[in-house]
Amino acid sequence: MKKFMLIVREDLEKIGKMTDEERFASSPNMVEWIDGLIESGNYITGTPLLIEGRYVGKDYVQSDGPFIESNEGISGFDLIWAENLEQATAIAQSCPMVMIGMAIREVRPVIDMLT
Amino acid sequence: MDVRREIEGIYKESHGHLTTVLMQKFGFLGLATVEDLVQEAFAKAMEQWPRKGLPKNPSGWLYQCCRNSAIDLINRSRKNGEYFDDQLGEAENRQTFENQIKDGRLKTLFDCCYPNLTPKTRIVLALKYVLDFRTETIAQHFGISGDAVEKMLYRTRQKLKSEDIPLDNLPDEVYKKRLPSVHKAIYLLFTEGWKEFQADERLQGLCEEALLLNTELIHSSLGDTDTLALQALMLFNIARLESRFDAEGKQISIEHQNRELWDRQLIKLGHNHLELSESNHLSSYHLEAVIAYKHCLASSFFDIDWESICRYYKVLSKIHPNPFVEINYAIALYHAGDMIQAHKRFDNLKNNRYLNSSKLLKKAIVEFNMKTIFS
Repeated sequence: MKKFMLIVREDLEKIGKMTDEERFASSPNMVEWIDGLIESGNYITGTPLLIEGRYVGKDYVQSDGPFIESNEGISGFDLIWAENLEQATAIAQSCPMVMIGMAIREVRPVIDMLT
Repeated sequence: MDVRREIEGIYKESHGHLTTVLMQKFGFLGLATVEDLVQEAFAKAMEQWPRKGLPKNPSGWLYQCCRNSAIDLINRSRKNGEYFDDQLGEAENRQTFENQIKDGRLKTLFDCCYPNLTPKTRIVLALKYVLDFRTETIAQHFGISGDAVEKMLYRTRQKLKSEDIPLDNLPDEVYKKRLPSVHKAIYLLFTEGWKEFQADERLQGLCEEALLLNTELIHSSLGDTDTLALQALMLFNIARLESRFDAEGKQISIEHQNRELWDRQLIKLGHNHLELSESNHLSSYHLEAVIAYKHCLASSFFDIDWESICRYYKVLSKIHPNPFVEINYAIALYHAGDMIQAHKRFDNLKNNRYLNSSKLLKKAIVEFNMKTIFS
């Protein structure tokens, strides 16, 4: 089994205007999906992210960096075990947020020195 | 009754079974193709039966129809001299895994473990095509509609087709490579039967079905020491099956289970398998089996060797960290008296937005009667 990060990309401009309650009320129930992955031994950890932050470079700090305006900005991530990139992709496709077209998942293998 | 409606009824009733039967004979064509043959047969029935009336033996008619199309398909590729032809010839001569296993169900299980399917999809496929479950039973079990299951099966078929999975008799290396997925699928079938009180008769038997499939795997040429460790794990668990629920089907915490009900013979058999599974390679099945054995050894809840159990969870959390291991490790640490480490781990889980509301983790808490600590 290999580790993969399933990055959630969403319309940050839209969800940035919502309160946390509104945001999570409008998104589908993720717990069942995650429970399924815990049960099959595929889940490691993950979390949604708040839509605020800083954009930091060598000579600057921006509070309204590209991530705020992006319609495919990072809004969360999950770390999972999968047999290969294909299976990780299939798991990402089964994410409720992806299935209703509300978010995009970026599937990236993690470099893991132990496994 | 309207013939079309009747055909729809037959479809619901028997298309899974038909696929299972055909897979035993024409499994080398692949699940997607066999499913296609079944669909075509029903399409043909839809076209002919309303005009000609229902045949005397509808399922026999459908089977014949599929069988003829399968043979046509094989002959056509033979004539065209496609690569398929070589494989057919080769398949006849070569001592393949398929020839070595008596149980056609096991072969179908390997077919269900296509690499690019999610574990859940594989389980649905296995329930449907290996164990011949009705769509309604699967739907009820997963708390989804029958249509959703049908859709899932349909999408899987489309996926297998679009990714051009070859119509072949998989070589032994492919089977070997799939072995970990098959172990996982067997274990998940087992846990599906294990996780709650099963009112449905077929679901009650799921643990035994998983055990039988794994036994067949041990007896085939493909089983390895992980297969034995998995067998040990399932035996230790199944030995405790009866003591887990009260008369109303409510879960009893491990502390209050009647240990007299634990099946000593199964525990002994599990121990034999555990000894045989010894190897340089340590899988999570090995560790989980040893932990289950430690539980079986204790004559009461207070005799449990929590220190050893902690050591095994520590290794497990290194080789395969996941929330389930984390929570059980925390529970073991708690009982072993390492409160600081236990609480640290509980807090990590509680602080996570998703894990905090996981039903599965809550169930582990109930099993060990630790509600006051976790809530």
